[in-house]
Amino acid sequence: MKKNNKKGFILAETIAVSVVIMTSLVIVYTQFSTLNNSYKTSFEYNNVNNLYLVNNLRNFIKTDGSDFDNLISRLGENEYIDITSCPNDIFDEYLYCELLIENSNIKTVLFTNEDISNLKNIIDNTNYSQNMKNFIKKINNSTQNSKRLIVGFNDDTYATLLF
Amino acid sequence: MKKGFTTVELIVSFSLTMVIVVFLFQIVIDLKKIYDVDLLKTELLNKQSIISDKINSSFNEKQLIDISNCGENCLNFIYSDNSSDILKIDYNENSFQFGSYKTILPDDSYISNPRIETVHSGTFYQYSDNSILLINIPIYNDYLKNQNYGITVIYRYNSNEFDLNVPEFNDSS
Repeated sequence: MKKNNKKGFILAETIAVSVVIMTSLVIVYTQFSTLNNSYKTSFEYNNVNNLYLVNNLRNFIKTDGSDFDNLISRLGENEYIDITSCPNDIFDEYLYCELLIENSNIKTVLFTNEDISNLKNIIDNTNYSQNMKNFIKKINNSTQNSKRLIVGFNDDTYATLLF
Repeated sequence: MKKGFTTVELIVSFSLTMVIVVFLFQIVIDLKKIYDVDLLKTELLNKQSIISDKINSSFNEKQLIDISNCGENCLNFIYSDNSSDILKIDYNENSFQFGSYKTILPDDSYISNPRIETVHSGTFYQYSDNSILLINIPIYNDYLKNQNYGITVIYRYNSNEFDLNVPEFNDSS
């Protein structure tokens, strides 16, 4: 009795189709992940509510000219100053500064130069949260001769504004 | 000679197909969940942005001089140019209104423990701002665990020039 030597094709076809479908699904999923991460960024970074709160703080600093001058001279050659605690040797109205920061739900306030390329290099050596470091690294650099406020809030959202 | 396939091949093929179909369905279900959640987050974030912008713009452009009660969960903010804006929370309708802007929150969203109050601090100079009007309206959603899509608005003023007294704002949340 002759054996039938013709091999069937269904297994090979199934495998080929499965590979194609799985590859396309993986591509769709990675695109969706990218979109999801972009959404996360838009919610956590520079949302409207936080920008207005940082604007309040910025206006407070700018209104009293001596505060701003004190900050600039204290910044000097450093990459940043942490002013979360409203140091009374910088701010005349440090009590009001504390009131603003507490009621804005702010966790960290950094005063920096507008160009933060050096700050991005050294920020990993600090004790700030990883989310804060990631936010700083995402800020677009600029070479204008201005100053910047970088603010982290207690709910892990962040915002930055220039002076 | 007839072409054909063996039973073993059939069984292996169908088994492989079933495994792949299960993974496919899982991926599709997960993607649908991600889509629905992100749609909800986008809507809440948009409303947060608009509400915050409306209130902050009004406060930045005009000087607030008085606040009066306009009913249950309703405050009337009066400005120096004699204009005014109403801030109202309607828990039955699940809506929020400021001025001419009114929005209904998405399903399963709710406002919880709104705070509208003034806070004062000591200052060295009498001409410095020493007070804030704090408007804190948290908005939560049952599907977004403990994420707050509400607003926090701060209005700075000097109570030595004029004082703001906030009437009772009933919280029926």
